[in-house]
Amino acid sequence: MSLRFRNSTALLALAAALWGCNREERQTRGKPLGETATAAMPDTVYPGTGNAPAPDPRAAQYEGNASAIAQGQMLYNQMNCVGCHFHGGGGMGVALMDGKWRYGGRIDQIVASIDQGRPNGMPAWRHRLTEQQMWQLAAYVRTLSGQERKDAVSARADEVSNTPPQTQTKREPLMPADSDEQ
Amino acid sequence: MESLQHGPRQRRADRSRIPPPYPQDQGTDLGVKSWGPEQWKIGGGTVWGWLSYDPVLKLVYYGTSNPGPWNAEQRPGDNKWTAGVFARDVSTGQARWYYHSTPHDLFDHDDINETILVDWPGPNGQRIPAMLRPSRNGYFYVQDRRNGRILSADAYSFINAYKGVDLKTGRLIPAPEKEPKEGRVVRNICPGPPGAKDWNPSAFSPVTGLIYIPHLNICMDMGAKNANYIPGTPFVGADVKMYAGPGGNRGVFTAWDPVARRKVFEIKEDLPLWSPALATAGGLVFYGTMDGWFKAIDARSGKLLWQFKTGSGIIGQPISYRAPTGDSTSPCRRASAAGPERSSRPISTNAIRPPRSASSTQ
Repeated sequence: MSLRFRNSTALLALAAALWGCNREERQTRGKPLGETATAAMPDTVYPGTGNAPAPDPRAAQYEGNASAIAQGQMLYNQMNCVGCHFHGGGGMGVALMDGKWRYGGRIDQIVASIDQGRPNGMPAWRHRLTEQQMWQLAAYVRTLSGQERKDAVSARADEVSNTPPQTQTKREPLMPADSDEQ
Repeated sequence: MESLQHGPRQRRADRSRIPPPYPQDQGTDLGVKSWGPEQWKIGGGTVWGWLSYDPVLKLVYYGTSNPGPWNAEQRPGDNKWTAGVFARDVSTGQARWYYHSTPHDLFDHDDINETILVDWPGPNGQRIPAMLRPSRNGYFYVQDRRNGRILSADAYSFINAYKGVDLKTGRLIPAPEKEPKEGRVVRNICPGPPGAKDWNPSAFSPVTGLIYIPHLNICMDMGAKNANYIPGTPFVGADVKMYAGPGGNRGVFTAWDPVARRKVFEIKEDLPLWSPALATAGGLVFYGTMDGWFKAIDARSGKLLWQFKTGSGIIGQPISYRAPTGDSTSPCRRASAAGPERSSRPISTNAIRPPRSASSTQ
């Protein structure tokens, strides 16, 4: 084993000790929402150039969490997200591998879009998915544009791969969708 | 998703005076029995393509779409009445005959493409009422439209997903090595999901006797996986990677001689062709490309005579009409409409004249 490799291993171990805890943390199954539950998500859509609402504190549990991202990757296929958004490239649904977000690209904003549904085809998943599953999905969706830590994403895809592994996905700067598009 | 194409109500088809042409399409409740339990209820087979009408036989012809999901392992059986063509009595709606072009479809090869009704030269100078169908699965079908019997079925595009059509049984012959299985990726399947040709209709010219087919040269890698049925979401169960077929061009414009059963000429286009074709009596054929070129070619040689760059990709239908000024040439109008930008500015093609040889044959 070369010195260089040992050094990098030591560095990795140090990094893991410092901030890797969240990467490995696992959660038990979340409770389904009751039939009459009010919106689990705060309203994250705001008009014009107003200030975005403060981030949801639950984000910390899911961002950079390898287990949540892996669960989200499974759900992304099982819930047929792939049928519209494909593996990030978009089709009937919008592309998810760019940095453009009509309803916000923060994890809590993506969760709100999954929960509430959005015009022109995005179904509302409230009462179909648990709150936890929506957060897991949102965590995975953010990996498609390279927003999540590279040590937390899956190094290989579940599908016929025509994109580089997610560990090589370039991080796209987040921006609101422009009105000049469509 | 419940489709009127399937299920017990098709029983009426079996009591028609003329039975379906081939044994696999005869029997009772085939729309139920050719599926796993209850699957016909969510099995697709919609009608979203073209209808043709024969006022003499009083029959309406149309094709049905692919079965769902794409993952064929989830739906054992032939999956009637998807991916086939119906002839129905216009006054009662009763099915006169049905032909199953692609039984147990594996690749999203719907059969919704246009049906062109023609008089076919039969033996002893007879005229047979026939229909021409450049199909999604890549075969050019000529069928007797009274009973659905196939007169010929030839590949008009590159195909390796099938080995031909058995003219005796009417059945498409599959290529087992190209069958996708769950968890396995099959490479180089031709044609891909949009087929050798999609919905954009071809044009038949009575002047040349040729049919002008705007179509695709797209192959794919396909991996099947389990699809869950969730209303409001796509029921697919396949990962598909599409790319250009042999030759590297994604679009082809083919002039096909249906009687001689051969290609007369072809024009390779870089982008897939999603524009319908228009053939005029003046010996011109029009079509458009996805990069916005509206083209006029010579109907016999395929030579490009004129082209015009429009503001967007072309997927709209070109039409031809006589101008009110009494000008004897036919201006041509088309809508350039790929995506949200639409321009319906008419294009006058008065200046185009077909070459002498073509116009003198009329």
